[in-house]
Amino acid sequence: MRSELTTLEQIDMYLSGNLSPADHATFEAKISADPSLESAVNQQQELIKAVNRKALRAQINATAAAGGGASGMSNLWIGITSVVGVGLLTAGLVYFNMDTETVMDDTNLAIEDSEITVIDSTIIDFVPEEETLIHEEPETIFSSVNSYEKLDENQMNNAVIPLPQWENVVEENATNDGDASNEIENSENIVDRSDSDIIIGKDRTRRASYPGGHYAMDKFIDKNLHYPKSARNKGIEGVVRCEFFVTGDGLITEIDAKCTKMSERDGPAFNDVKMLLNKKIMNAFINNATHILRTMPNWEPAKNSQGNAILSPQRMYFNYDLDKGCLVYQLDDVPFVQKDGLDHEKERK
Amino acid sequence: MKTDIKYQLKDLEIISQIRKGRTNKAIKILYKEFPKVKANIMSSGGDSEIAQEIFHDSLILLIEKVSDPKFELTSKLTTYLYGIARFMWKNEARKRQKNPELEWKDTLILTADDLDYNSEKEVELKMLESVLSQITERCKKVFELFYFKKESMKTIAEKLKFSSVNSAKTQKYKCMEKAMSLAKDIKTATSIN
Repeated sequence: MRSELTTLEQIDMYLSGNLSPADHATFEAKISADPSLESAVNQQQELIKAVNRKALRAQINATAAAGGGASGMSNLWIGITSVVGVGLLTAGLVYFNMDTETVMDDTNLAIEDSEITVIDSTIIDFVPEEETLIHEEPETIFSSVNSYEKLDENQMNNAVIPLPQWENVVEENATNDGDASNEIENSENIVDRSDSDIIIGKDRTRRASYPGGHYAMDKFIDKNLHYPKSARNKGIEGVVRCEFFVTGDGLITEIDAKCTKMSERDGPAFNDVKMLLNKKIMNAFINNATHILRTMPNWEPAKNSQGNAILSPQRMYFNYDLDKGCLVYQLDDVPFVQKDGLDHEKERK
Repeated sequence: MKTDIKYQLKDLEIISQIRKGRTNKAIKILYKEFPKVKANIMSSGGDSEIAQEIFHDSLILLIEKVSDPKFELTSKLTTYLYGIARFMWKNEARKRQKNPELEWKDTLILTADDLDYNSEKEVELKMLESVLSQITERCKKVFELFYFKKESMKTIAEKLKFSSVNSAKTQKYKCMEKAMSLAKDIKTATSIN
């Protein structure tokens, strides 16, 4: 080997760190003594760097040519196919889940709807949903209803469509004592109107109800309640609150009707003076409402925990609306002070 | 925090790959950052060609930096890469007598001192690279296998069918001599010009 080549080898060894420590030290001394050797070392070092760079550049260019991605062409295809596959899978899953989700949603909605009715009925603001809900219920549950239906079919003229929105009542009800418990019970009653015999509350008392439940009562009222003609001619709307008792025999007694609100169509509520001026209309409303109650068949009486029929107070609201017709809301077991001196709330406890 | 750890692990993995000499994988991973760098460069007056050049140069610089065992990563590896690319692009823009305002996201602001960057040296290295493309194929292969892939002279001798290890060694140094002389020639030629 020529001397130049041996120096090159030495430099190479030195740069790669393969020299023994002693040789390394002597070589470094040599470099510092000989500038030409130093430049040679530097040159060789740079050449090696350049070699590495060139190789790297080749690799980088290869990856750049392959699309710059993390993979070559074959891998790219695998990637694409896998992406498509995953996409299809997820799409399928999503579709499947959507199906189940919609089902779930439906059930949830149904639950929510019923909950809404519960909430709304607690405010006695009878709900738009209520109407539809009532009519959606299968009629087979109300086999007892049918007899009434047949009876009243002749009187069925223009079917009255009930309507919601009733702020006054809400306010009034809020002022009543011990409403909360009743409201809850009522709401349950309304929800389970198919089965009025359901035991509600801790005291296990059956509440008084129209035979066949709320649904039957609504049907009865729909057929018999008509907007008073005089009021319609004058364009006056009104709200009548009826309080009455259901005796142990199921009779409706001591009807106390009061017109709580009157107004023109979409107008503000009448003040006392205007109410007096329209007393005829007011009486028409009251008579209309009480007439319905009087013509009702006997109710099923409320029962205490011993199963004995008891007297129960009831409250109903008759809402006359020019656009939507009439709608009746019922509140039973209203905790107003009994004439016989019994407070049913206390009695239960 | 989770993602941070994930990134750290990924970065450490890349670095270890580079130090083991498996740069190919690391390049493939890091090349995913090219579109961002390209967008950044092109938004401040560059074209796609220069963007690619700069990105490749900064990748090489990064790998060189990382393969130094003394190197310690102070940020995310990609952030460091952006920093290098930003620095490179600023250098390049200065050469073109432009001084664009660079508002890069997720980047380090690196200076020449941080990177040990010497533009004269870089020019020389580029020249040497061109020299290396002028030598014979066999020399290229010997160089690549010995210096880049760090294989022993014995395996190189077997691979390239040298008669012996010693002959392979002498061949290698002859190649080196040749390359050096070529580089000298080019240097003198450019200095005269």
